[in-house]
Amino acid sequence: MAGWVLCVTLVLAALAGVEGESRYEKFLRQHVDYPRTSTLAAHRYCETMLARRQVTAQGRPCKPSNTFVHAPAQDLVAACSREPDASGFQSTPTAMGITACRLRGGDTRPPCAYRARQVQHHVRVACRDGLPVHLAGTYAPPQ
Amino acid sequence: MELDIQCEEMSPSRWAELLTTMKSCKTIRLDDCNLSSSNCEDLSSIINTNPSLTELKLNNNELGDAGVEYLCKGLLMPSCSLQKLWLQNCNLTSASCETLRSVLSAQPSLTELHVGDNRLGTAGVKVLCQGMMNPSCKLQKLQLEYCELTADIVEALNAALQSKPTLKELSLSNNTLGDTAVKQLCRGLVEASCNLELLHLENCGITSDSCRDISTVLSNKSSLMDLSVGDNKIGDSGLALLCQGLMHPNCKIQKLWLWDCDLTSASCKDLSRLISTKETLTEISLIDNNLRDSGMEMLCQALKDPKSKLQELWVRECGLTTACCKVVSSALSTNKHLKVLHMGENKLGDAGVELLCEGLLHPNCNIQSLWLGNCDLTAACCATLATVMTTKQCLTELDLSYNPLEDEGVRKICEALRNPSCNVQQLILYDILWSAEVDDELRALEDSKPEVKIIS
Repeated sequence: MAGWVLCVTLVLAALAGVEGESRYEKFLRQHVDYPRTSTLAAHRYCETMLARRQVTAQGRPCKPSNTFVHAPAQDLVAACSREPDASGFQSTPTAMGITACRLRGGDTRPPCAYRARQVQHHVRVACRDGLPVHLAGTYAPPQ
Repeated sequence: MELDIQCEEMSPSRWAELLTTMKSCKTIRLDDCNLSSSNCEDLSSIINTNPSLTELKLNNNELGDAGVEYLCKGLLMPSCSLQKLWLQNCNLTSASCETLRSVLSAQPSLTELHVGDNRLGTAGVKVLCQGMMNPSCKLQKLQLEYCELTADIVEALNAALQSKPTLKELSLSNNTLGDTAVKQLCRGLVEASCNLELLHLENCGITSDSCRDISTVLSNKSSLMDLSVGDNKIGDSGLALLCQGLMHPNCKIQKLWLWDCDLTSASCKDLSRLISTKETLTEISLIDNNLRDSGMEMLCQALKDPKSKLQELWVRECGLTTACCKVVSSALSTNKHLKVLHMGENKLGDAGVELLCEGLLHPNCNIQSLWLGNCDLTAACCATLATVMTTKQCLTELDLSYNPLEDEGVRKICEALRNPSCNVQQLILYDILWSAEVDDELRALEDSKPEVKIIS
């Protein structure tokens, strides 16, 4: 009994990435939340989601910003069949609900506190083999 | 022994298993584990039968007032010697405050109470303050962020502060207090006998109007080491007033957070004087203030002053461009104390980073942690960055997130990382597009060098 330390740490993100995840799966994990998860305290959406999606964790620096798209994964996959722009990225044909999370304060050491901004934006993605693997940004619908 | 679990839903068998473990744990953290009031009954008996438990963190579980009722039964037992209690975002209301008050009055071992993100309201926290007034209460740290507090709370808080010389840390961030209340709080803090070390008033509706009173706290409380007024529109005029207190010889400030305070380059004259004369100042955050190149140049002059002991400078998103990089470089080649530099979200560009690297490579420079996320960097600057990585043994953390480095750039960085003279332990590469091949190369690199973490 003496001398053994039991430390049950199950913070998965502290380990070397989420095991066996494809780039598309990682994209969904970090960027797609549909339907939008409702949180008890509305202002805690970003903290809650980023922790649950293993983006923020103990021992990991706080990600300065992250966008969650509130649309079915299929809608983003569909963007991949559209004509790429000059930078090689593809945009969704319609605007979708997004939450842009921005780190509050400055500290990149957890606990990570965020500000959330909800808008309707087009989403720009980079696709490989017909699947989105990278969120290149979002933009407001042209007026 | 410690139990530390985050974001895990508990099945009944898993819970039973953990309960056995918890009986001998010194610290327990169960964050966002879908716990409810029924789990609290079990936790209460653990608290009761585990006299070595010092820390209990149950943030982000919908325990509710009923849950806290159960917990407190255990917490009120004389055998309980809990020191730190965290119940943030647990769906508590003012109804929980009566029970928490009893704990505060009965448990002299309790030194930390974190109850932010609960709708306690002014009425609820007034009750907590009553608990604090009890001489048995030896509370040192009180965290009340996002508790729906209003200006009315200050009277009760001041009364509690008067009675609590043990209080070291107070956080009231994200409560709509307003200037009148904050001024009143400052007067209370000056009168109180407590040696407050940390005061956080972010997003409290503070304007320049409160800054004279905050300044008075700074010049009266030598104990105050950590002040944050981020996310308040104090502006340049507010900062000027704050500096009066900050520059006072009694003020021994170490960490100062002024992020998103509506500051411009006009504030940088005062800030420079602060940086070059306040030898206790080790960390300053100026994130999201439009300081611009002219402002940054003034700060850099201060960094060149040998009296400056600043270790961490955060100027992310400050409207900086390539134009300031020469002066920053010059500061880096003179300043030996600066360890952490955040310059992300500024349009520095490849040319800017090339200039920065000149300074970084200087033997005087001791930078350990460098943040250049979203700075318009491409593969073009990666060769020079690679040289810094393999030359400066002091550099252990590097962030290049959100830059279109592409495969070419990422490969150059990886090559540097493989070099045995590279000491970088955390390489942060969020939101960079690279190929599947590079993805595999990064994974292989992490496997071959287990002391390195590549974070994306």
